[in-house]
Amino acid sequence: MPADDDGLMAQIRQHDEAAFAELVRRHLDPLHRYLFRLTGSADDAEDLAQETFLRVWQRAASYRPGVVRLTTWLHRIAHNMAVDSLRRTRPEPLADDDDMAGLADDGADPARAASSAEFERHLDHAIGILPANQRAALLLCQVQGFANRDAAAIMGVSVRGLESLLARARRSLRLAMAARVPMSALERS
Amino acid sequence: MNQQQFEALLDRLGSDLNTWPEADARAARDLLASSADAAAALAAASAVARHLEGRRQHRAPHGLAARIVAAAATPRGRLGSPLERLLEQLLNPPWRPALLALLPLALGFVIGLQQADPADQTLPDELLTLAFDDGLYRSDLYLELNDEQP
Repeated sequence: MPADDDGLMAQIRQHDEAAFAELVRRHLDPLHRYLFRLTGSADDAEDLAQETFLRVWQRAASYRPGVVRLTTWLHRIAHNMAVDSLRRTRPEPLADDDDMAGLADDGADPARAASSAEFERHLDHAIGILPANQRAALLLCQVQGFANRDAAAIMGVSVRGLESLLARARRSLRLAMAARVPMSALERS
Repeated sequence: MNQQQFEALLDRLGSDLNTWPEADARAARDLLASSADAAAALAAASAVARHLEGRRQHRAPHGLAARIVAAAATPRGRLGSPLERLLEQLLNPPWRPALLALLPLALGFVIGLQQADPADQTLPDELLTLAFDDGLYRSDLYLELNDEQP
């Protein structure tokens, strides 16, 4: 019977490479998804995912089972490295409501049913110009599926701070995508 | 509930009215029944949430897992950089309790440095005098060693 995450970490502390490979197999896809969406770069996401797992391998002793779930700990390491990387490599995008309203107004015809692919493309763009902390809050809660408390722990902010970031991100995206909502969605609501 | 209040709750609580507090959800449904703007805002928020949740299906690039495992087997992958190793050792048992115990001592040292009386410090003039004395002494010593009269 395969070990649970805490069991794997106990084996990894003993430098068990097979346990490490199993840990990577279990957690790589969601972690890579988070890093890719947060940085917007496939290359950065690969590098950061590798660095995250190597850090887990080297610092397995600092993991405290029972205090925090392994996936939360992994995301916290990955998040910190991604934020450092973003800070080094590119300035913070300055998106505000006007930018988002501009996205909504650039030729979209609300009377026409927007295709799902077009909606996705514009949503990607709108997410990409969110400030990094709002983007992280949104991804952690709505894509990665973390509860607000865990997302706040990953980002190192208070739960209230996390909720504020999340509300601002949702508002920005809602304004940006308002004119592009597929007609089918309007009919459903 | 008006449009502004509805949108504020929509952004704070998300687009699933079933997760809202019962009184807020009821007031929101009343508004939605009569307001096209509220319905449009809910439709936009729901579409965004649905597309975000649809992104959960994601595969990391083929071969990345194997590359990570292979990197972990290299000496650097196993151990990290020398500085990282030192920090890792110092910040974990058994050294961490020792470092914590030394913390008050270090703190006292820093406070002591900051509170040192400037009058206790050697003045530049004193240093200069000492330097001259030292020179005289050395000069005498030189003459003595060489059996010369001053």
